[in-house]
Parts: sequence; C-alpha cells; structure tokens
Amino acid sequence: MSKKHIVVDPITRIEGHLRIEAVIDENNVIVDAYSASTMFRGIETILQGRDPRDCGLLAMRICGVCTGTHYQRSIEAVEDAFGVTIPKNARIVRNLIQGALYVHDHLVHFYHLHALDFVDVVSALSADPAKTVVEAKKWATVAGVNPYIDGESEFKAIKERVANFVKQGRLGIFGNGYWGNKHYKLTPEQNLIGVAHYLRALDIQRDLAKMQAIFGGKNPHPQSIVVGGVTCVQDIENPARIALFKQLLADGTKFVKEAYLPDVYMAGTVYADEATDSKATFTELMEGKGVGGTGGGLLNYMSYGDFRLDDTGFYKAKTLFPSGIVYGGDISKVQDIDQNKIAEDVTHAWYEGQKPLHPYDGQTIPHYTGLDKRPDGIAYLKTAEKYSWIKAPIYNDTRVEVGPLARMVIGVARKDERITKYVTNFLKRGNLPITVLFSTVGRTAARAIETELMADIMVEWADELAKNAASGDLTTWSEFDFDKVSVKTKGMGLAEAPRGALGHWVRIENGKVANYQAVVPSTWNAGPRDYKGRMGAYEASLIGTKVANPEQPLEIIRTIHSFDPCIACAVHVVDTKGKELGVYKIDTQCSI
Amino acid sequence: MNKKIAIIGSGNAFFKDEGVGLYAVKYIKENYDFSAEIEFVDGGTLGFLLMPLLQEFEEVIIVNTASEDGLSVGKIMVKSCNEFLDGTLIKKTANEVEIAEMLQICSMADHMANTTLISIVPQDIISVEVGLSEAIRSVWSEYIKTILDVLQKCGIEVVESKKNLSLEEILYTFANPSIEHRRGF
Repeated sequence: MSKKHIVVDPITRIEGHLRIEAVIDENNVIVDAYSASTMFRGIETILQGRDPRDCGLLAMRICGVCTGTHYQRSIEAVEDAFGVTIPKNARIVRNLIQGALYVHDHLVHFYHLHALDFVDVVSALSADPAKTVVEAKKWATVAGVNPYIDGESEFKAIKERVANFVKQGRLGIFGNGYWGNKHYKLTPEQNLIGVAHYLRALDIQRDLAKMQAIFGGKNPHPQSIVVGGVTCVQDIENPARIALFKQLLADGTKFVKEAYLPDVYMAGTVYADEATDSKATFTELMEGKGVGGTGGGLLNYMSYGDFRLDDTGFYKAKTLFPSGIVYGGDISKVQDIDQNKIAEDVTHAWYEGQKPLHPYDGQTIPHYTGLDKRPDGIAYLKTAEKYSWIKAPIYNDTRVEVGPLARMVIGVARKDERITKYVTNFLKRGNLPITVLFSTVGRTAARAIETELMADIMVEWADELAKNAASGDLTTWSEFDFDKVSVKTKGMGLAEAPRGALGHWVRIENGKVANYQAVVPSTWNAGPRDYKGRMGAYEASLIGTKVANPEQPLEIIRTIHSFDPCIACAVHVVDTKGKELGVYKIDTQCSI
Repeated sequence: MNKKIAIIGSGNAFFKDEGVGLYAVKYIKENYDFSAEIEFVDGGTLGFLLMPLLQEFEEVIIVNTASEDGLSVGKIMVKSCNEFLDGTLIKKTANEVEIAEMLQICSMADHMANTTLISIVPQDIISVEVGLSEAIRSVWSEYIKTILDVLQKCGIEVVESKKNLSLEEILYTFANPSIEHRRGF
C-alpha cells in the first residue's frame, strides 16, 4: 500500500508558523493529519509583575488582528477579579467596537484570504460580462436582494482590469493560486463575480475599519477601554459620531447582504455535494455516525458566549451569543460551560508539564525537542512525541471546535430566537438542511450568517446608545478602590473573538499580576493531539478529505482556511521520498 | 507640502529586535519636529488592519524588520513597494508575512499610497523582552538617519526638538505602558 506523506510547512524558518502534515492513501484520501505551530510565543511571561490595570496595553500586542479583542478581554479579566460592573454606555460602546471588528474581519477573511480557494481568477478572464449579469442576479435572488453589481459595463471593466494585472505581471496575491486545478468548480461568470466583489471589498473594508475608530479612539489600536469602563464620553455625547457610525454601517451592511451572502450561496451550492458527503467525515470514519460533510471534523462545538445585552454583569447578563457546548453535532442537546473544566495539555506540545492544567495554574516552560531529520533531507514532525508550540486545550476531557460555526450551532441548540431566525432564513432560502453546516463550506457559511446578524444588531445598539445619552446618562466609568480590590484576587475574561472562544485568566496579589494565561481561539482549533492521542479540530477536519492532486493540496488549504487560521504560515509540499513537489502559501491573519 | 504622510512602525515590541521599527518611529516622533503634519502609527503586529492607511494616505513609510539569510545583521534597506514585493520575499516573523501579503492585496485597490519600506536585518527575534541586541544598537544612529533621509525626500523638513529622549527611555515606554502615567505610543 503506497501511502504518501504531504508536508505543508513554512518556507523560511523553523520558528515559522503553521505546519500541516497529512498522510494520504492510494486513493488520495487523507487518513492521518497533524497540525503544528513551529513558532514559540511566550508572551504571557511578560505580563507577570505588572499593574493589572495596564495588562490590556500589553495583551493587545499578542495578536495582529484581534488586537482590540485581547485588549478588552484582558481588561475584563481584571474587572472580573475586582468585581467591577461597567455602566450601560461602556457596555454598548464595547459591543460596537467589537461588533465592527467582527464585520470587518469576517469580510476581509472571506474575500481576501479565503475566496481564492473557491474562485479561479484566471478562469474569470474568459467570462461573458452579459451572462455574468444574469448569474449575479440569480444568486442575489436566492439571497432575496438585488445584486451589488448589476451592470454589464462594470463587469466588463473589472475583467479588463484583471487582464491588465495579468499582462503587467502584477498578479500579486493572485499569483499563488493553483489556477486550473480541477477542484475549482465555479463557471467563468461565477469567478468574475467573485473577483469583482474581491476588488470592491477592498473599499468596503476601509470604511468598516473607520467604524472601529469612532469609539475606539486612536486608530489602529483602540485605546478607549479602561478597567471600569470606557473613556470616549465625548463621542457618546456627540450625535454626529453615532450618526457617522450608522452611515458607515449601512454602507457595509448593503455589501454584506448584496454581495457576501449571495457569493456564499453561489459557492455553497456549487460545493453542496461535499457539504453533505457524510462518508467523508471524521466522525463517520472514527465513530460510525454520519452528519455533515467534507471538513466537518470534531463536531464538538463550544462557545463562551459574548456581547452582553443587559447590565447585570459578567456571566449573568443575557448575551447575543449564548454560551454552551454541543457534542457530536447533536443540536438537540446543549450543556452549560463550566470554566473549571478547561485545561491545557502539553503531551504533544514543546513545553514541560505532566498533566493537563487549568489556566489559573497554567505554566509556559519551553521544552523544544526538535524535528526528525530523515535521510531524505526533510525534517518531519516527531508525531509520536512533541510536535507543536501550541498547547492542546481540552474541555471536560474532550476536544472542541470554536468560532462562528460553533456560535451559530450553540445559538440554534439553545433555541436563541435571533440566531435561529438568521440560520433558518439562510438555509431556507438556499433550500439546505442544517447538517450542511457541519463541513468546510458550512463553516464559511456560518461566518457569513454571523456577519449579517452582527451588522443588523449594531443598528439597534447604536440607537440604544444614542437614546441613553439623550436621556442624560453620560456615565462611562465605574469607580473602584484599587488598593482594596487588588490585595489577593483572580478573574477571567471569558468571551468570544471573531475566530472563537478567547479566555484571559489573571491572578492578582498585592496589586500586581501573579500569573497570567491566555487561551486563544486558534489554540482550540490548531492544537496538536492530547494526552489520549485525540486530534485537534484542524487535524480532525482533514481526515477523509480526498485530495485531487497531491502536488496542489487545495482541499487541505481550503479546509484550514475555513477556520480563519490565526497563524501566519506558508506551505511546502513534499512526498514521502522528500522530493519537493510544489510550494503554496497560505494567506492568514494574526499570529500567536 | 500638503502630502498626507504616514510612518508606520511595524513588528512585535516584545520580541527584542522585532520591535526595532516601532522603537525607531517612536524615537523619531519624540525627538524631532517636522515642517508638515505626519501621522505616526503604532503598527504593532497589525497586518490587514493597516490596509486603510495605504488607501487613504499619499505617502506611507513602513519601518520594519526583514530577516534574510546571507545578509549581515544590521543591514538597512530602503525599498519601494514594488522592489520589496519583486525581490526575494523575506518573511521570517509572522508580521513580515502579513505586511507582504497586505501590500500585495493593496496593490489591487484603486488607490494605493506611494509606499517605501525601510527594513533592517535583525539578530534576535526570539527572546521575549523589550530591547535591542548589541548589533542593532551599533547601527542605531545610521538607522535613524536613514529614516529621516526618507522623510526629507518626501519634502519634510526635520529639526531636532531638543527633547533628547534616549533609546533607553523609549524602550522603557514600550516595556512599561501605563494608563495612569499616560505612557504609550
């Protein structure tokens, strides 16, 4: 039996980023997979001994995308430790800053980091602009809207623009694709729609980024959040600021509804067979169950919950995204999260440690044992031993997936009215069963559903803020006696980032940070095997996937991208003999 | 001159030499006065969130690291965006990867700032601390002068502000940001 070993590895250095090793059988089906981060990030150590009020300023440098989310989460961990409940204005402002980040981040992910896994740019050059208008109308109609771009001349101009890029050799980011790979299934007209929206999304994201700055203060790092509340009272007082926020939001929402969602229907429908091909799922193979499709993976979904909707305080308030955990894709049951059941295991990670530890007791002691350099000249992960700088987080002794899909699944399982409505509408319009969500395509669709939901609810929040300020309530900060509350305490900021469950845990003694740990979304998803040899979410999602051409592992990249990986990475492809077959770069966002 | 100029310090301030671009931009912001308004940007580890700056400003200067085998530590390079993207892409840190990809995506937009990258080859990007290796410290003056030269080429007059903030004081600010003491970028 000739199994091939595919290595997906950073180009330049071992301290690099994300590496995937996959073993494929004679039918090119992935039978084993390993996810590794080859970069050490010991940033938590830098927080020890600090004034807890300043942790946010340090924590925000952890990541290059969710900088504002780490900033806020860190501040909330300290607020939890101090027993501080922030005022209404502060709660809404924080929701608006984070909500704007979600919409910006999801849009950039779909168009600029993920779309080219579906859209073949070169094929778009042979599209007929007149037919493209008809095609765009078709998918917009499925979404119940008019198309964002509906003119033949505009599609023609975009086609010429792309042709010019090609002629000038200026394909830039488009230059890395596997154009022509038979796993690209869209028609030339569908590809042209995708490219047109890719280019338009560049302008839209610029305006969405401005929204974050309205209440976030100094761009690009938000600085208006402090322990106890927010500092941007002048922006709350000024109706013009809230009006500007709403205007930018309206423009962005139009694009989300008229371009993003129709495009997801288009790609989702073309790849629908994969989304329900349960024979290809990890669960089918491993446990004999069959839900979902290619890329489904663990089917255990977890959300800490986030976006407080009232002012009763942490872990008491009703939240936009409910918290909970669903096992095995069974949405008829949902369990509460008990944060005491969170632990990090380092059996297969390059750290010292004997048993899984709760983050309050977490340690970050590096213990690098290297790769296995074989005679073929290629260094392989020592998969039986330690093989990643990412720890393996465990909840209640199981591995889980986090992210937009998890939030939508938990929302539906909780019978949350708003989330159920958005998910049901999406599926109904496309005539799709809910099980399609448990797949690579479904993960991408769930992110789009969440984007629409977030864009819509932010209008309500902006109005609520304006109304509250108009009523004369301009309170933005809750007072606390630092010397009294910081003697000996601990707290946690457990909520969601665009990529999933994000937790910061802090122990405070005599006014200083005694221990600090962060468990980030990509740790949950990209972690290696645990002490029982169970796979992490990335690893499990690859099992059963058929790779059309092992020299162009487009399917691996598409599934990994569907998680919106937070690890900058690049890819080498080699076979078992160590011969380099090709090089592919994964485009990603933040890094930890 | 009415050019809208932004200068972005880029890198992770906690990984020693990787923070050199951030330290340099802060150092210049504190120690010099300029004949026109300049936007000093704490680019930190941001990648794609910097795209709006490239779309809104006329001139953008990115000060970062460029880890390339074969080039000596402390070597300083000034490149246009096209030269940067056309050359061997030097991408060891997560941030170097993102900056390159962000520039590639931006080059597809209708408007993109005239972009210059000032990159220095770092020595230690592994240690988790705020600081600079001796090799980088030894070229610090030359490095700052290179950045000021680029600003002058953009039509900006530069004079020392006599604040005389030392590199050590700048590093202290990064290592000890404080809300209470308003100590930050």
